[in-house]
Amino acid sequence: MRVRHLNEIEIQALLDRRAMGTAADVAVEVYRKDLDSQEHLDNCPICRSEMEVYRGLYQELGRCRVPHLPRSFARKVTFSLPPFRAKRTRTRLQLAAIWGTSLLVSLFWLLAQINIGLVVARSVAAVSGFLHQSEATLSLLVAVLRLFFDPASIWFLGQLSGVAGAVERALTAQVGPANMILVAGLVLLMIASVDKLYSSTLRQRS
Amino acid sequence: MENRVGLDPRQLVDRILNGDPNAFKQLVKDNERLVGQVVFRMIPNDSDKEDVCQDIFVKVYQNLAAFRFDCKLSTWIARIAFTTCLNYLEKKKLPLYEDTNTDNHGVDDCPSATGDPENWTGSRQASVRVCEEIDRLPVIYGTILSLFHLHDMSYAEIGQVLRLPDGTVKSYLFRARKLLKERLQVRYSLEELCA
Repeated sequence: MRVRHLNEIEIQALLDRRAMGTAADVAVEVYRKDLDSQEHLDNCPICRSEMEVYRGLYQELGRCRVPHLPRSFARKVTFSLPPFRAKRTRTRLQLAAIWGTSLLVSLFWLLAQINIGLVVARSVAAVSGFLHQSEATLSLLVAVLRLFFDPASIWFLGQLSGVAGAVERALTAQVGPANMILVAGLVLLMIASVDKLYSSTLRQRS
Repeated sequence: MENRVGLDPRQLVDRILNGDPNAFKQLVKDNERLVGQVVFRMIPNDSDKEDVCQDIFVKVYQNLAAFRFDCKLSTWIARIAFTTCLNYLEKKKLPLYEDTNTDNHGVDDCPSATGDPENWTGSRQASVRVCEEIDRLPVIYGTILSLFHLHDMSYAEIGQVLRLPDGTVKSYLFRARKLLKERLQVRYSLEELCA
């Protein structure tokens, strides 16, 4: 009977499975095939020799040199980065906080506008006898204006928040989070010095 | 992959996105070996290798916010490295699937392709010989061999890096090893004949 030797693909697949250690999730037929292959290997010097060649190759491949980048590479890359992150994703909580604040502020603004509008309308109505309907008309106008200005105010507040975030990120990127307290202290010291200088100037003038 | 300061990749990415430059430096240190391996296998020009590595990490930094953890962070970085090198090869009109040397002896030229394995394994020079021979293989084969044997990546992970199906990766890997083994046997048998 003619003996069927293991081909190179079968030998490599067997070595790969052993290298990756996938015995736990390997299919039953693959496991049986591996057992058959092992049985054949135990009795066939030709296939065993071929297996040894591949085993040697695997060992040498694992020992190949790994290129080394210069020690300063990580520092060099960090320095070459753009100063600000181009894209920064805000968390849902941050977005909700920004939108919530904007909504509250614009609501207050809206109420103030209504009150001003009503005061103006009442004044006009009081002065002019034939403009009895002006109060209602102006109230309507104020409402229309309000609808136009509200999205604008929300957008403006969003931009303000973005600028504040960018400044905070820039400071963190430049000095690092650990040194933020130091920077805050220096800023406070500067403010105190300016204040002292200003008050002494005022005292001299008086 | 856990890094040296004990942060998991999610924490590391979060710190980078919050503008911590030390966290990014850590990411570079954790992955420079992997990126270096891909670049040194794929880019033939020595003077360009470091610049390409740097370019890859800048791209990682710029696109980090878009990373959704649908694969390992190292796999994603390796994919960026591979794509960047691929663009380089296309730009320079260099081959990906062809042999990178002209002086190697073809397997068919040899009278006997069955050499003694001890000729090229088990000696002090063996690793150097294997590495030199990998450099002569087509770029794609060398890259797959490095990812599998030096970075312990699975077929699926290599497939994600190279955007190839698992079966194709497996087939390339087997072909690469077969070719490498045959060439080593031929080369060192021929050297003995010439000596």
